[in-house]
Amino acid sequence: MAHISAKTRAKIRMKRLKRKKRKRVAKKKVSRLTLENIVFIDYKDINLLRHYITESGKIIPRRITGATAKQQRMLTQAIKRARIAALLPFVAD
Amino acid sequence: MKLRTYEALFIVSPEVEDDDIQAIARETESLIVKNGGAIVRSEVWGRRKLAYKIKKFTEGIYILIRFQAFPNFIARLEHYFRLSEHIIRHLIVYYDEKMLKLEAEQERRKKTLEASVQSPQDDEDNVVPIASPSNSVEEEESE
Repeated sequence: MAHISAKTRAKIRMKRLKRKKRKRVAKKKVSRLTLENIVFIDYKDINLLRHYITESGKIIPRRITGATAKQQRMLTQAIKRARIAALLPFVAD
Repeated sequence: MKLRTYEALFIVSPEVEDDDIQAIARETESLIVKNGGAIVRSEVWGRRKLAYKIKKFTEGIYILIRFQAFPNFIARLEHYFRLSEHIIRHLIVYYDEKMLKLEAEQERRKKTLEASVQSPQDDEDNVVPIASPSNSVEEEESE
């Protein structure tokens, strides 16, 4: 194995450190709701709510949609109401 | 006691004739008014496919009434819905001050957005007799 100078070794270490750091930085998600300036989520607006349920009808978690806690609470409430009104399914097959 | 704003969405059995739908809507409205309430707006969405079967029906006729009433009247309305043979599902939602304010704000933002994009969209606020919102959107697209 060829000899590696102390300088290059330090360089390599720095590179590794950088890579590690970059990995840890999480991309900040912004939900469609924030972008489109939505402050009120209506349970009758199923075209909007459709984006926040999976194909099987489950409510998509916040960590995936990027909604704020406030938005997610409103979404959940609206989706549950829409389900009662048979506008959205409880379970879709 | 103070009047509060509510929204009642109920589904009428698809076996009911279209003429009787209006009668059912009027009957509910008069019940609200008789008990000291007031109708804010009343919409008949018309026939709509249900997301799941209710009492073995796959479709139903949706009626939406926004109204003001005393809180103790809601139990009675609930009772009326449950006893009615034609109404297969009902949902009463209470709109508090905060929700009303947010809804109005949303409506305003939507309008300014639409004005800037200039996309003619069907306003859900319009009282459209027997026409579901989804249908009207489809019609617009086909034109």
